[in-house]
Amino acid sequence: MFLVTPEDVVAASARLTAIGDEVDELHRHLSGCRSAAAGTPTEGAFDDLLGHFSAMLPHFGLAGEHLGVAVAGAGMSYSRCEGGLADACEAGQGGE
Amino acid sequence: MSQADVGFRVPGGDAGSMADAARRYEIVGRGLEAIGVKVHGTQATLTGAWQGQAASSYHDTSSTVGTSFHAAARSAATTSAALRRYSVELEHCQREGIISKHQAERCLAEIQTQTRQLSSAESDANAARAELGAAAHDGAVAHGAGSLGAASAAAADRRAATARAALTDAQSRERCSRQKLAHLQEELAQWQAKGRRAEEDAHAAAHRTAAVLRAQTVAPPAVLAAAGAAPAAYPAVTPGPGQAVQVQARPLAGAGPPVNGPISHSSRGKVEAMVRFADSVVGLPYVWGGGHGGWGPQPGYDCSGFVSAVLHAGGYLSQPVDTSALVGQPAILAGPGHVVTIYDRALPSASGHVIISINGQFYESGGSSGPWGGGGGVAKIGTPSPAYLATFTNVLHPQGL
Repeated sequence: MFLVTPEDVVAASARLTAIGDEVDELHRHLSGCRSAAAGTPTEGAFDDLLGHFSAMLPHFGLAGEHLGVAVAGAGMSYSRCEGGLADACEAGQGGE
Repeated sequence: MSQADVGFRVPGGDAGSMADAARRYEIVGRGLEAIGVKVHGTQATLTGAWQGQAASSYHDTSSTVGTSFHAAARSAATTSAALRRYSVELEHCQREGIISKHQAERCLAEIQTQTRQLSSAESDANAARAELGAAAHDGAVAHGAGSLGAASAAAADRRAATARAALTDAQSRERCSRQKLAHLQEELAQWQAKGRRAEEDAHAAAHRTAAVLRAQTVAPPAVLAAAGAAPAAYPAVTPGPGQAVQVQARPLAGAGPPVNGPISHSSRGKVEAMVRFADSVVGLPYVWGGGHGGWGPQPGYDCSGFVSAVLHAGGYLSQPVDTSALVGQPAILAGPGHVVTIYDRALPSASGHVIISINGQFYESGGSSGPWGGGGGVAKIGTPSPAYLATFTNVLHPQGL
């Protein structure tokens, strides 16, 4: 038993799918601060954390993209179901 | 004059670059926060439009993803604040250090000058004393000669008077130089203390900042944690017979929150060795089977030979392995690492491939830049798109990294 408005689900998926690109942009932005801590005692910790963020951000983008793609798939499925039901109803009415 | 001469060092580093890094982390934090808000907002907009088992699964997954973005945003914001504070402290300490250094150098230069003047005054005083003694001796002899030595006695008295005046002047200069030297030594000590304090303050600020940075961890959304298991939302929306879902998100198998903490100081050496090796072979051609014959110099590498050699440079792997054998190797663990992540597509076919990310820099041999088995050679590549990364079936990391 479920309730769904396929158009809303599809619209939501578009917003979520864009997350991958948005995170990529943030990732590029962050890469600009390499070696900012050179010559200071923070250099090791700074570089470690920058490397950590750089390694993790693609996974965030991927998570958003996965969510968006999954919702998009759901929306398409619902739309097809709805279309199929509509066709079935029309066929049923035509048969009467 | 070198910095060591003044007894302290002006704190090193570029406070401006640090402030710029703080701004960049702030932007990243705001961006991640905005995405988290969007994820939660999107969830809220669907509350009325989508209900049921699939919707429930979506809500759970969406909450997890949104919360992870918010947590990462907080980490970036904390990092930004720490870097901003450090940049201000570093700039202040450097300014204090530079002023102290210049003043200490001035004191040292003046001390040298006064030391020379003191030496000169002491020499003049000694010469005046000798002259005074000689004049006194000559005067005594002349006075002993009675009227015959009157002229010589007068001359000796004049010499003695001149010598006394010279001695008085030299002693005056000597006292003046000693006083100035004492004052300069005191002033030098004050500037040195101020310079050392600036150096110590900068050091303390750096260690406070490093502690904050080391405490930051960024865990990707747990939705990716379960190897090979799609979030429950996916099967729940499976439509009726004959209506298969065409677009199916495929989670990264093995990907998930990092299982290790920030790397240790000793592990950094491993990372540096891996980077050194990887950089040293960039540009070598793709060679089928390259790197699988041993760890020695190679004319070229295939994808797994290259990644094996990089891992070996960091102390991992006892022998080169192909894409299908990376999983299960000792100290090669599932999930992304903090600084080193391996993306492995373990397929027994021409589609198998493996790439590696070190400190956010991706490397590969014969990968997407050309057809498998003869494409691009060993190269540094830009950060692949999420869609490309999603084609890898295993996400791994070396233990401790």
